[in-house]
Amino acid sequence: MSSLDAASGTFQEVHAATGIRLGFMMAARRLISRSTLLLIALSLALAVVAGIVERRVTTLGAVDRSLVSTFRLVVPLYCFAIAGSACHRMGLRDAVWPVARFGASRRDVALGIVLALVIASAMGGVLLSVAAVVSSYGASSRPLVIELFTSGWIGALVAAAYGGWFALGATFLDRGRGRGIVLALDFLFGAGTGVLAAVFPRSHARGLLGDVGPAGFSQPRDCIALVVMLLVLAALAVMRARD
Amino acid sequence: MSDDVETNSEVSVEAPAPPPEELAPAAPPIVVLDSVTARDAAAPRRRARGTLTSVTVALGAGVFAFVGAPEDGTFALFDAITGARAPLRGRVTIAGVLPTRSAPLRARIGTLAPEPVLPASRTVAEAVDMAQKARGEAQARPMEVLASLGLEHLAARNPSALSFAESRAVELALALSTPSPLLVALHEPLADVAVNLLGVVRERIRQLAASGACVVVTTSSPADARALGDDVIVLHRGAIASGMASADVLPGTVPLLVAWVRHAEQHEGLAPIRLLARVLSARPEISSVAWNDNQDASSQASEIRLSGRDIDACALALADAATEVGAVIEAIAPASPGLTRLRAATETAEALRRATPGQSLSSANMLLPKGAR
Repeated sequence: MSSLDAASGTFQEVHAATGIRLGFMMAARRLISRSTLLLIALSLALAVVAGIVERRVTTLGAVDRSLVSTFRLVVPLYCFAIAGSACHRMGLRDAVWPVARFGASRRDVALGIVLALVIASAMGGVLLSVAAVVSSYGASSRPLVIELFTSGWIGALVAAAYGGWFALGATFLDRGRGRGIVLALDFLFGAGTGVLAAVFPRSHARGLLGDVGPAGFSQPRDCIALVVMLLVLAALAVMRARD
Repeated sequence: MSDDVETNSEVSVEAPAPPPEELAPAAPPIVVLDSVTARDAAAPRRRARGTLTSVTVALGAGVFAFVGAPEDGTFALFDAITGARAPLRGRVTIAGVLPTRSAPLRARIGTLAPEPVLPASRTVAEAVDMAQKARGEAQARPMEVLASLGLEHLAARNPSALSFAESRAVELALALSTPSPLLVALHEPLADVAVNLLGVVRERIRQLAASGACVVVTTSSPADARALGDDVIVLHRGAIASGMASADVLPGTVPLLVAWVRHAEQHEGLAPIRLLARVLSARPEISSVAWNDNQDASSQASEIRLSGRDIDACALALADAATEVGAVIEAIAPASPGLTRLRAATETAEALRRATPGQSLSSANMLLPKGAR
């Protein structure tokens, strides 16, 4: 490295913050597109339709049932699609290249992309939860503000955990097709209540919504598990994309 | 290595030798490929379109033009030296550092990739700004970068709305503005780029090489390779088939001159192009003459092609003959053989080598005289 440093002259090494910011900006730019708007509209439509159907069946417990169906299907699919957009339908390692090739560290740029992906997922989670609550809200439900707040943070946390999973999935297979495997595993094993289910966000979401959690986890433990999942998986994804 | 053509698998191409009075200790090579086997991912479903096979080469400062099709490994070579893709086997180093592992090194590599990959951004100016910040430049000046190739008009455009040639033009401007470059790798810098100032591109490439950078040009055009490179290296089926100074004759070809001539005034009898061909065929400098007689459109020029041992002597003979028959030369240019002809000649040479006992090369690499000129 010395030969590089000696000859650098006016050349400055890129700060980690710059790399992270550039990665975040690039991913944000990829996410601000017509296809993302369409995805959000479609996801909201699904959540709203589920809410209306549940309310039509009976207003008793409609909010809970609406949230369960939204978290089972719409949130994972939304996060899966958002992860694809943030990585430009490529693997995470390839997705960082447009900026990393100019000299920013792959690790920093990947962290910026994962950050944008997690934030976009969390925001989507909040939005979908709110849509599910509002569309299924009835007279027998708890006060709306409480329902919105509770389901909002659960949605954000679960979707962020999905973001971490899909970021890691994007580091496997060609064009990041490991995302699809993560989605399939979540559908297959996340629905259970065993130890294996505890690895996936779906089971913890169920626990937080008042149903049985995985491996007898309490709700606070579900929260902690989701936070740990997010942090560990995001870190692993960034590590796998580094130089 | 000696000054003769060597018989091992190592290829060494170095910077143009300085004049005797300026001789200095030999600088270490900048780009080193050590038994590199690499592949690209340019085919559909990211399969390999071409591969490099056990290539060993060391490049110093100067302009090195690798001529070959993507199937011959030009894309794989490009990906390997720019750090886009690690080689399958062997080692690629730039100034002793692996480009796939070192971000600070990549800041000193300028690239014009086969497929443009500008960072996603709102405008081209913003994309250039991001690139400059990623390179660690203290003050990003996107307009200056774009203005260097006359691309200011693209600054406000959305990068995703640019055409392929426009995107490549922006990437070329970025590559040529790399601060303190060690390596500038350019794929087809004279083709598919929406730049009118190609003379500026050539001049800038020369400046970069003169400042001590190693400029690697990959191209499928022998003409572009000769126009840009100090050394021309032929890639064939993933190996270095031959290397030579750009002034030398490429394998299997003879110097060829193409000219467009028209008659100065109406002639009786033979058309001026035929008359010119007859006069030229008698000249000892010319070994063959071919023409395309454009009889229907009298206002347009006819094309004539000449070959001979010395291209300059051919040009002089043409000028003499044109004066003699009263023809006007509208344009004249050296014609370069196409890649197909070059590959055919390379294959023939390889077949001959294999058939001749004692001259077969075990390695895929053909050898280059040291200094190659």
